[in-house]
Amino acid sequence: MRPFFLLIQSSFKFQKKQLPVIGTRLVLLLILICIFNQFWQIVKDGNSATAQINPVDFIWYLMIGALLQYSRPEGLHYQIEQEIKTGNIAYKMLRPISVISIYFFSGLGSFLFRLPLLFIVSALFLLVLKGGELPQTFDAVPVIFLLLLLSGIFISLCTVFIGLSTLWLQDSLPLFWILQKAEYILGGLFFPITLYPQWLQEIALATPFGWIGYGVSRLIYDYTPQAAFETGIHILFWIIILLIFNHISYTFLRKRIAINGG
Amino acid sequence: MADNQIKFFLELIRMNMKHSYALKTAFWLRVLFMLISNGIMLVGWGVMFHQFQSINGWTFSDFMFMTGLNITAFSIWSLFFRGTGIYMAHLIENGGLDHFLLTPKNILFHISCSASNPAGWGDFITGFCLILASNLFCFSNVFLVLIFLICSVLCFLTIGFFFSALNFWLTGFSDLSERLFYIFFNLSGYPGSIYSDWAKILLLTVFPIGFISILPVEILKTFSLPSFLYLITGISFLFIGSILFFYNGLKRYKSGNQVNTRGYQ
Repeated sequence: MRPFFLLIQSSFKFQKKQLPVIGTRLVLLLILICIFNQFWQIVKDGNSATAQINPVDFIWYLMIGALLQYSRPEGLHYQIEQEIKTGNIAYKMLRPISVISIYFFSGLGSFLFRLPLLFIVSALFLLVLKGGELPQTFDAVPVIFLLLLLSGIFISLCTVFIGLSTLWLQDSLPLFWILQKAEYILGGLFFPITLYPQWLQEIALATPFGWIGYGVSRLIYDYTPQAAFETGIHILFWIIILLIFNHISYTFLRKRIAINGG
Repeated sequence: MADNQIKFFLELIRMNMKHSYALKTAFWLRVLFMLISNGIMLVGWGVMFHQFQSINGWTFSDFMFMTGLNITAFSIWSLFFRGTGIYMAHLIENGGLDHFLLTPKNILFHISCSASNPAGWGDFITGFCLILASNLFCFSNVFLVLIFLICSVLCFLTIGFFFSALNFWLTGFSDLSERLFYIFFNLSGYPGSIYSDWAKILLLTVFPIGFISILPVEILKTFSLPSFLYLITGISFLFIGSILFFYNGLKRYKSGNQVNTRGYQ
């Protein structure tokens, strides 16, 4: 296990040098919170569906969902793409640790550094913005944080998979765009998916995005142990699926490298 | 002189297109996936507008026009002037402007047109269709829409010039300048009606994305000459200001003494 911890540790050290970049993401996150706070003030009246969620709950819901987006390992998929295109990945494959693990743990390290930092600053910002008012089930924050970590594992694996998609697509960026938008819409990052029509709710919950986004964030105002457990199980299921996908990609990658010589 | 610049511009576009199309599968996938990605986003906003009917007076049709204008302008920037973003910032940071300084062409124009992103075609198709589908568009206001489009492209260029030129003063700023550019782009994607009055003042002055996301729709809904004149003069003022800012920074440029050939992005 030691090499994996070292990978996370080195990613942590790298993130310390990335503080200005993380700062700009934080600024964008706070602006987004302000925009949607204003948006909710406008739409909350005169709509039965929105009336069920109070503004404080909504803004915390939004912040938790957005944290996943803003803590994700930036540029990792692009780094994998470049290493595949240049053939440099062949050198990493000579190491005693699987190349997938190298990417995954460095991505996870980046996520683990950013998540608490962004969470603390944006939570303090929300407290100021809402005059110290807390969401309904604020006690659930430790559970939510654990589920966010689980979601971080999913996000890191997903980013590795997007990078490896270069093997088939020649380019990782297009798939990244689609998955990012899917996270926004199917993950209910703008609005709880309960405001969607039934058919879209069903689609969202049939994908991993509905669980890592809406599934985790809704616990801030609608926490039950069963709901948290159900969300955790679903995220775990999708992590296993991604592990299988990444394993298949790795097998394919090894064959390609063997044929083309890196 | 102008004829010469146009020929040069067309030649740069041809080179960029050739470069983008070198990997055919990647080119078409980028276009296709960009269309899908925009489609997903529209479904999301469509659902919201279906739920709320209108957001502070804006209907889905207004939003479609704003998004269409925003995406089309961004695609034009992305296809023909992408050199103003991260590319220019890196050139300044690494002292790589020598090649451009040694050619007799206008340096700012030359760098701006030296990079292109093929995914811009996906954006262009989406944006164009959205403008046509919006109720705000009709053939009697084609000219007005064209002016809005030019202003929006100038707005992206202004932001690009400004953040790239900051690299003349700040070292190690290139990655940040790209991120700041995209912060502006992201902000221009929300309906203008959700902003408070204070935010609107900011967005129509120091953070000029209101020239894309607020004014065009407001003018098309209820034409007001002062608003229209403010749009034209405001964006012209900012655009000229960003050019002067760039040339002012250029005086501080230090060559990286790089010996290499320059490829197109």
